[in-house]
Amino acid sequence: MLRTRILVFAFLSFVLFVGCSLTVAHDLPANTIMNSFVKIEPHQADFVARVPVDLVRGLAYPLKGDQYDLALSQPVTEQAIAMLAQGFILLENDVRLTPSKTTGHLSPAADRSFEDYATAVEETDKPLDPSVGIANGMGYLDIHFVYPISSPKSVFRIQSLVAADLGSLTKLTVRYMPLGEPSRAMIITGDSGAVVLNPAWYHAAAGFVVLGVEHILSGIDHLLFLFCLVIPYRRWRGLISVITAFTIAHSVTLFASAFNLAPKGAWFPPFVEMAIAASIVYMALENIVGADLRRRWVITGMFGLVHGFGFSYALGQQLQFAGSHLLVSLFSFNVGIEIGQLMVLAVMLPALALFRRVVPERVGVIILSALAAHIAWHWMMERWQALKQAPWPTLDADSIITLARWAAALLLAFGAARLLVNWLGRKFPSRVELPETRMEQTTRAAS
Amino acid sequence: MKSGRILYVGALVVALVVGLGLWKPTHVKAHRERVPKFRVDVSWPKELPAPTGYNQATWPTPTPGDNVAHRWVQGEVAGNCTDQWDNIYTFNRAWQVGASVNGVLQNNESGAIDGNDATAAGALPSPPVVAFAPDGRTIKERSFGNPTLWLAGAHGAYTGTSAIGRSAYMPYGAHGCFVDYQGYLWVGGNGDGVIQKYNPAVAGPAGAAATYVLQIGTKDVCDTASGICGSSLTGANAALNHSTTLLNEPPDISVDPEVGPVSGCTGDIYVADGYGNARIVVFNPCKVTAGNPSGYVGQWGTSCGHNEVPNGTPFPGNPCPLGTYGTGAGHPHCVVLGNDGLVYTCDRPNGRIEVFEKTCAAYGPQPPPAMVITNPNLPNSSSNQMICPPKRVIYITNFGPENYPAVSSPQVAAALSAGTRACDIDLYPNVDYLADTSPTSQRYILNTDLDGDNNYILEKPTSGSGDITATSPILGSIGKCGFGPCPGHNAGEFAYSHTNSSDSKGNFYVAETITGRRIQKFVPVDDDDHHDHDHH
Repeated sequence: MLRTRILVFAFLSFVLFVGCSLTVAHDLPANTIMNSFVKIEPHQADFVARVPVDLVRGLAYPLKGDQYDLALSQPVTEQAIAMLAQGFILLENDVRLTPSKTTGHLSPAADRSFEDYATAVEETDKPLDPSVGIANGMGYLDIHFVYPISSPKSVFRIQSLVAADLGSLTKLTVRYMPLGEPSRAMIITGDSGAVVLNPAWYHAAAGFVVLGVEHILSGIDHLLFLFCLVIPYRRWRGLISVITAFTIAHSVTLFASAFNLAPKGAWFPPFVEMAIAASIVYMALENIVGADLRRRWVITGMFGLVHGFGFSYALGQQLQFAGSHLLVSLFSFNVGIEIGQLMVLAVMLPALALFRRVVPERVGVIILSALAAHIAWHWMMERWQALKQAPWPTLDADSIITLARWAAALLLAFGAARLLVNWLGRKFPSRVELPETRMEQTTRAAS
Repeated sequence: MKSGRILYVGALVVALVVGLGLWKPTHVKAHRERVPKFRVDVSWPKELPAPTGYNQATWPTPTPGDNVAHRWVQGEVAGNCTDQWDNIYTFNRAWQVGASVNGVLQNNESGAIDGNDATAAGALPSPPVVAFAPDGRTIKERSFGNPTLWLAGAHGAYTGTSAIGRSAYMPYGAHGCFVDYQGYLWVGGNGDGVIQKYNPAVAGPAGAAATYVLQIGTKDVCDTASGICGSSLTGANAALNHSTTLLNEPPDISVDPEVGPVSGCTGDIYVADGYGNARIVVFNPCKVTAGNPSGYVGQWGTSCGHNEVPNGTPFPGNPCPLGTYGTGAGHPHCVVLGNDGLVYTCDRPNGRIEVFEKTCAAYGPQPPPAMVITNPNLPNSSSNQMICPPKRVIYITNFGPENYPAVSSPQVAAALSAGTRACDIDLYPNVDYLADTSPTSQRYILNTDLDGDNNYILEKPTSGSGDITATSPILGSIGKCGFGPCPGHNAGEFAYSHTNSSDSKGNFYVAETITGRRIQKFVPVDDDDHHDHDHH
């Protein structure tokens, strides 16, 4: 615990000290993307990175005309290497590693040796050809750090404090090459903190549960949909079929998206966004007109498919941190969403119960649903404008096959949900409150 | 209920059969050639900066006590180019002013603001070079050009008719720009005799002077009989087309990261010396000597003295010989290096792209030849010494029948007859600054058509020797109107689209000059994400 605190304190100090010394409060530098490889060997970890030279401010390279005087540049490069050895942090089982060997040099802007690991290491370890012209402020600092490690099976974390004051604008591309496993790529930013390169399944699971909870709690359109779903219901039991259908459906599309089965056209994200808004409008209108709630689980399931795609966009950028635990992470994200939903329902249902005490039930349903419909209608119109800009796919063989796959998945999901609801109905015949009865009763009471 | 189940099972079976590939709808094309498609990105660029205290005359030093937010407004965006990190630069004519805005002279080439707008909104012309990050934010530190200089009276020897309001420092008639393999920004102007090289990484506080690296040519002095800049073919101001130190209204530049076959050095500078002269001229600093102060390597090309299709009417029996350029504005108007080792040049007046070997640079220096060829049928006559036979000539004349069967449409015919089709090109997908070392395919030519108000996708001919002429079908268009002209000021329309460039992600940028005065970004939307060539 003490060690963790010391580490946190050390990190914060570095953010303040190194961050300030590496950059000054200027406009965004022209290039904020750093490129790196981390290769794990039996006894060492190789970290080779390319940093745009204008991200490392405060270096007084000698000039020859408008270009760096490369023959005299090595002392400043050594200073830059020392700064970058502080700015990049590699941890093995939460212990910061110290490089046993550091090499590096300037390289020209057009150099392409970082397209693969072997070339990057080879070129970085070579002395720089002083005849290469590098313009002042252009080009890169290429570095190669070797860290002794105790075991290739350890948990490795990486953090970048280089220009960390620019936060998410500073990106470090990491290609992680574990021993005997396929390599993975991820992008971490200046405010990512220490990211686990090879997370254990429980690390991944914990992170994605939190992510799922955060996503549902911050997703105002998902929350409004959930709100519209529950407005007519007075008790948990009536909600079981609806929430189950929603959960199954959004899980189907969430998993499908993670396995790249979702349509890829530019039209699809705005379509999903608009369909989510439309789902809220529909649900609100259904509440107002007092539709048959026995069938609500069907339409909820359909809309759940759409919301699942929406969830997948939140997940997309984060799956890179799942390591080799894609399924665990997906499942955990889903669990997080369900936990978030239950938390929201735990607040919503009592709040609605209170509301019913001051407003007649049917009137309350209409007022709340009308407000939700109003908000969602505006979203829908805005998103429709965005969707109109997007080009629609041409109807070729590929798109017909994709369409057929989705139709099949949808039909199967529908069938599965129906079987489940029937099973629940048989299993708990006396407990399941028939929601349509309540709706009819409240409607009669209001009239 | 039973019929519902039958319907359910039937639909499921059909969906599974098709979805699992047990039956393929073969009547639709399974492997249709996917021509790139684009959509306009209306969110790019973001609003330009509105620095308080901004004063053109003292920029970037703020005016003390001035709390008004002065939003930068670009003028005619005559040029655009992309750097290694996908930042986009514009070279615009915001500062070439003559009329009065806030007490500052402007003319009709100034920013798209008038006196009232400027007064009410506090808008002022942007610096001539504006840098945008890939996400559309302006990078103020890489935007430069000292706007005070247009007010300077020192216009050198220039005696043209519209000297007023011209920068005394950066090229008159801001035109093309190019970022080379080392990250340097090159600019040229079509009202002057210079190209200039800047280092945008150290732009900022000191304005243009701090970033200036070198210049080829002499301000206000051109390669003409009188030294006055212009495009006369005859008379006292006749273009000479042969100076080893002077240029004559050069619109475009490219720099080769490889070793040039004639210079023997890395970094040959190819200049389209094409508003006054009509040549491609090559320089390299490695060739600088006391007798060759500009590092002249060689040149090729001359004017044929007329256009093939003046005013849309073909010039009967009098085509411009291959290897020459038409007369009129912009000949050659662009120079682009391909990863096939060839030099692509825009013969704008004739609506064609002429493609040469780099060895054409060996055609100069020569004894001064006539600017205009007199008898193209005499291969060894002194008048056509400067004609290097092109490897290929691409006429942009034909809409592919598959894509646009109604070629007889009057609008399309008008667009085809306009002599400005080959205004600028981009070999796509491309990494401009890497030129012929670019690992990307450069399968297409993206062509900017000035008067046709559209940008087109052509297939780049790849056939070898002997394929001197090729008609490149127009496979697609980039404007939102489809094929044919797409004039307008709304997103996806064009007004005087003039230059273009693409980035490593396959995004395509079009700059609009004269009345357009903006830059638009077009994002590839092809389902196959073939354009994502992330590089660093």
